[in-house]
Amino acid sequence: MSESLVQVQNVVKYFPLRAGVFGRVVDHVRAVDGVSLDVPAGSTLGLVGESGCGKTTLARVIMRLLPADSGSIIFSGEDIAKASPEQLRRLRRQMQIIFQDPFSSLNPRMTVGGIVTEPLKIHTDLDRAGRRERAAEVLGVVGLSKRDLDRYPHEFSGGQRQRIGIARALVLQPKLIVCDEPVSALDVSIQSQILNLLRQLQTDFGLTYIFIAHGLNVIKHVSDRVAVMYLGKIVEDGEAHNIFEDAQHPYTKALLESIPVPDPRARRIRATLEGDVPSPLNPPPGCRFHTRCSVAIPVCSEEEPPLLEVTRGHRVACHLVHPDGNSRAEEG
Amino acid sequence: MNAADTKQQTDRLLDLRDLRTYFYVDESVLPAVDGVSFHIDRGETLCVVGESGCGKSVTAQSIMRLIPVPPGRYVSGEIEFDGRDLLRLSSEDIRRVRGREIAMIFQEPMTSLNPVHSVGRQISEVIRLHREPSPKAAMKMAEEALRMVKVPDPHRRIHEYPHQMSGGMRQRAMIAMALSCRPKLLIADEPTTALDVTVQAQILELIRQLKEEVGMAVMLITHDLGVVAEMAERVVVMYAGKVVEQASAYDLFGDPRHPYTRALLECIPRLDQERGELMIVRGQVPSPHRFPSGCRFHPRCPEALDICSEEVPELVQVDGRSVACWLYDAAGEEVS
Repeated sequence: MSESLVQVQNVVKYFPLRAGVFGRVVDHVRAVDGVSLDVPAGSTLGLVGESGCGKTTLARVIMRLLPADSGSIIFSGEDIAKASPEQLRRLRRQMQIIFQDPFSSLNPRMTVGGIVTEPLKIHTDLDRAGRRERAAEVLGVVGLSKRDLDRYPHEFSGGQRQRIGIARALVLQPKLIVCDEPVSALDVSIQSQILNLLRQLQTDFGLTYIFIAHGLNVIKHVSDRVAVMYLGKIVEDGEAHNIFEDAQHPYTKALLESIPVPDPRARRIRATLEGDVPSPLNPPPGCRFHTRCSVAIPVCSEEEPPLLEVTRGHRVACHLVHPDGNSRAEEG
Repeated sequence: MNAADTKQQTDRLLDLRDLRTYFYVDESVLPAVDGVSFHIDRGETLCVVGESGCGKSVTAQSIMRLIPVPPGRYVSGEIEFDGRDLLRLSSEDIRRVRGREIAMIFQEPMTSLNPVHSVGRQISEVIRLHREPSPKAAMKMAEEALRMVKVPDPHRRIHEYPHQMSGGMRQRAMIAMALSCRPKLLIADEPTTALDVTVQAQILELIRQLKEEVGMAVMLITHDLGVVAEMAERVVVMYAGKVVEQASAYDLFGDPRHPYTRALLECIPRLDQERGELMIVRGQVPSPHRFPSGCRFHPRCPEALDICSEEVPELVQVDGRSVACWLYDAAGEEVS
């Protein structure tokens, strides 16, 4: 495996909850609660979990769109969490984001040219003609054309708008692109166009992706490594084949089973997971998943299981997988 | 779980014949639903599948007569439900059908529930409207309805407001409301699209169980072929306002005939396939402002013939399934 582009160490992000006339902090939403992971350069990390599990917050903390409360984020050898404004400006050039909803993430009053050249205006000293030339080039790469420069977002369909969003992300030649559910709002027949495009761009430009999705079927198609999050914590991560062929955590297994398979002969009872994700305001004690886990044992509600390797590069946080987990974690 | 194609004519609950629902906006005509025919038998689950703008939701709203007229208009066709043509009922009569005989649930349970009333009040309102018991008895029945959809602690939950519930619970409350009058047909328009996959599995399981208990038919609208495979006995595939293929779930997934159906099946990322290049359908989903001539799929079809851009293919029925495509002749054989 090549070296890491991004190394996340023990990142914590709480959102304060205020109440009363004086806006006193009464509690915290524990959106990301001690996450460590590595993203090797040129690969795709799939980040998966139900809504409210903290995957989008984690991605935003990695890009420092939100400041981390503690922990470090090393990007190409520099700590983003401690970067000076100067340093941050330089680092930001190298990381871009693509959003879920191509309808609300493009300014309706700007032309496509304006949208795609804006990052160049901020980060480069190209003149107007140079910026338009570069924008036209990038539009070509994502399957649009130079003619589209002077059109407005409303003239495009959902799939084409997502291509504009990709062009905007690509125009500065970043190293890292965070894809936050980039196909969930698109039609089925358009999704595969966008997924294939993202794949092609990765090969052509050596991009590193952090790819967020709630469906494991999409994740499977794009990811080299996969991290499964539940209530602000990683419960399992590993190479894609570890997760899809040898899932160990009951939550990962339940997620896999809840994806409907497009084959009526494979029809089965699938609702293995009862209830909803508990509130991150007040996560359950011990293993946060124990309230919905079908195989929980008494220790699960008392002690939090550490994230430990089962095989090289494949980590799981579950008492059933590591019966002696806590003593091992202390020794290590 | 056996296929439904052995059912008799007498089991027919809903028969849609050549339905055309058009919208007249700014001097242009949008043929959102353009000659759609299909049927649903009693107790059957029919899935209507298609992408945005294919007319699946307008079809559902036409059955409920919920299309605002104008700008919409039912241009032609019949919607025969339990022996009556719904398009010819007075507005008073259709109100008695809505909610009581045909109930509907929507994609976004937050926007389809009233935020200023408790869920118990909203469910009991439907019960009082159609079954006319006292407020107290209706509330009791609403509580029972919540219990039926497996809302935990219904006695307390009945007093909660929609914003106090999670997305999954709200959708359960919607289903409780829909089923409180024991409808003959439940129309579910993308009921799980806004939900997490784990909650989606719970809701689909619930619909499947309740269908058996209540003995109702279900018309499930979705864009997700995985959901179709889980739920459907029969499937109608729509594209750009028309039905392009209709078959039992087993036939459709085992032997898809229409190039659009095949393309849809091939381009979805699946758990049981290796990582790799996905098949794509070229081009864009057409908007009703500019439907292509002839077969509306022809600009995106990898197998299009000359005739496809000129003449509209009829829906040809053979062996209990049908397909509208020039690649097949009147006997349903592939034209070589």
